[in-house]
Amino acid sequence: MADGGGPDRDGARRPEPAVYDELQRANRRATRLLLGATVFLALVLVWILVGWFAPQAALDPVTAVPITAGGALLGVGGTYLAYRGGPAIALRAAKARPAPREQYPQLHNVFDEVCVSAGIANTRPKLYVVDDPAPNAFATGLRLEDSHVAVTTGLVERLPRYELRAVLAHEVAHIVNDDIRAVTVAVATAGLVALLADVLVRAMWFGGRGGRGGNRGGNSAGAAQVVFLVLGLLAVVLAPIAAQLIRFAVSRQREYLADATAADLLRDPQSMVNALRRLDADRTEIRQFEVATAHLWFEEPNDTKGKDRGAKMARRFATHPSIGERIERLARLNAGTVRLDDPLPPPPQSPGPSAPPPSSGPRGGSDALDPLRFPGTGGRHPGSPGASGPPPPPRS
Amino acid sequence: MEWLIVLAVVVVLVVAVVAMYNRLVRARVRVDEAWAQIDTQLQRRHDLIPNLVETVKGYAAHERETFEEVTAARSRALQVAQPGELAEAENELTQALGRLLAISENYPQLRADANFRQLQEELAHTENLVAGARGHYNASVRTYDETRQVFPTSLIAGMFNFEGREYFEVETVEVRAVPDVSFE
Repeated sequence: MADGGGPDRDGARRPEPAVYDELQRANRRATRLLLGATVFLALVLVWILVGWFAPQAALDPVTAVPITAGGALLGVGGTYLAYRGGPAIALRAAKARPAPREQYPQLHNVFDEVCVSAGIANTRPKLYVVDDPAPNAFATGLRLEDSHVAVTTGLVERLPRYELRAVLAHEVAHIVNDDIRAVTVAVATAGLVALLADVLVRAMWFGGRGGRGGNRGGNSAGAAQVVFLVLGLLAVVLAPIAAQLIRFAVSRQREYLADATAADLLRDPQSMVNALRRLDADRTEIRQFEVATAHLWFEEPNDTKGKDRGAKMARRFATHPSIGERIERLARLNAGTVRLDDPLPPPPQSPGPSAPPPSSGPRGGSDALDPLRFPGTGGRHPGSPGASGPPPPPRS
Repeated sequence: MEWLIVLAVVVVLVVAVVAMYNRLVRARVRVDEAWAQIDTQLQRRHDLIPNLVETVKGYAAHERETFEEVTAARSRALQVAQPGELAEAENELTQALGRLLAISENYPQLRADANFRQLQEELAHTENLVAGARGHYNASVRTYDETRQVFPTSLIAGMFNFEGREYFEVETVEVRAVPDVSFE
C-alpha cells in the first residue's frame, strides 16, 4: 500500500490554506450578520405591534424607540434563554446517549485525532451515539466549551476508520466555523418570528379596530391605523418566509465549507470524498428523525434521493445541498488529487483480504503514516467490537 | 474644544495599540499551546516504541539492525528541542518505524499476535495525533506570522519584540518515499 491522503499532503497542489482561512472568516461574518438581521426583524415586528395598539406613539420617535427596543430586547433575550436548552433538546430528540470509551475505543481514538488537528484538544466536545442503523452524525451546542457531537451506531459500524474520521472532522468543522451558533440563532429566529407574528394576528383579531376602534377619535389616527393594518398583514405573511430563508441560508453554504474545512484539517480530502460517496450509496432510512433537527445532521435525513416528484419537491425544501453536489465541490477544490471512480475501501466488518483503499496506488503521493494503515481491517482494531461481525446487509 | 479632539485621537490610538498588542499575544499563546500539544503527542510516540520493539523482537530476534536504528532514532529525538531539528529527528524515527513494521511482513505469527495488532492501532492513532498536532502547530505559526508582518500590527510587533517562530517541517522527499508496506 502506498497512501491514504493522496498527493495533497505534499502541499504542491493543495489549495492555499489562506483560502480556507478567508472562507472561515467570511462564515463567521455571516453569523454576525445573521444575528443582526434577526434582531432587526424582531425590532420591525415589535414596532408594528406597538403601532397597532398605539399608532400615534409608534410614529413619535421619542416614545416609539424605547418601547420597541425594550420589546425586542425582551423577545430576543427570552428566546436566547429558551434556546440555551437547545442542545440538550436536540440530543434528547435524537435519543443520543454518551459514548463510553471502553465500548467505542476506536471512535474515541479517531475523535481525539480530529480534535488535535483542529486545535481543540483541550476543549474536546462530548461524544454521543444514537442507536440507529442509518449512518449519520450531527453537532450541537452554543459554544466550543459546551459542544456535543453525536454519531449513529450505523456510522461507526459501516465506515472505515479514515472515513469515520472525515465525518467527525466535518462535525468539528461546524463547531470551529461557528456554525452551531448560527444554526441555534436561526432556530431561535424562526421561533421568535413565529411568536411575534402570532401575537400580531391575535392583536388584529381582538384589539385595534375590531374592539375599541370606535373610541379612537381623529382622522390621522384612523389613517395611521390603516397603515399599520397593512404593515401588520404584510408582516404576518412575510415574516415566517423571511425566517425560513434565514434558516436555509444558514445550512446550505455551511455544508460545503464544513466539508472543505474537514478535508483541510486532516489533509485528507480523499477520505472525505469516500465517506460522502459511501453515504450517498446508502439507502438506510434514519429512524431518530424529527423535522426540527433535520438541519443538524451530516446527511439530511429526509428522503430526497429518489427521482419521483415527491423527492424533487423534498429537495427544493432541503436544508442541505445534495451529496453529489458536495462531492463535486470538494473534488473541484482539490482538483487532480481526489479520485471519484475508484472502488471504496471495504467497510470495517467485511471479512477476508481486500484491496487497499482507493486513495492508495501509484498516483497517490506517499506519506509518513502510510505503513500504519491497515487495509484488511479497514483500520479497525481487530479486538474492537464489531470487528468480526457479519457483513453489512446489501444495499439497494 | 481642541483639547477634546486631541484627547479623542489619543484615546483611539491607545485603544488600537492595546488591541493589536493583545492580538499578537493571543496568536503567540496559541502557537505555544500548539507546540505543547506536539510535545505531548511525541512523548506518547516515544513511550510506545520500546513496547513495539520488544514485541517484534520476540518473533524476529535476528533483525537486530532495525531495532538498533529505531532505538537510536528515538534517543536522538529525545535530545533535541528546536522545531527544525526535532522535525528532522522525528522524520528519521518515522522512517525507522516504517522499516520495523515492514519487517513484520515476513513474520505471519507476529502479524497474528493480538498484542502486536493492538500496538499497531495505538501506533496508527499516535501517528495521526502527531500529524494532526503538527498541522495545527504550523497553522498557528502561520497565523502568528501573518499577524506579525501585516501593517500596522508589524509596528507593534517590532516595538515589543515579537519574534518569529519556526515551522515544524516534515514534508521532505525522504519521508514521502516510505517503504511500500501492507499488512495483508
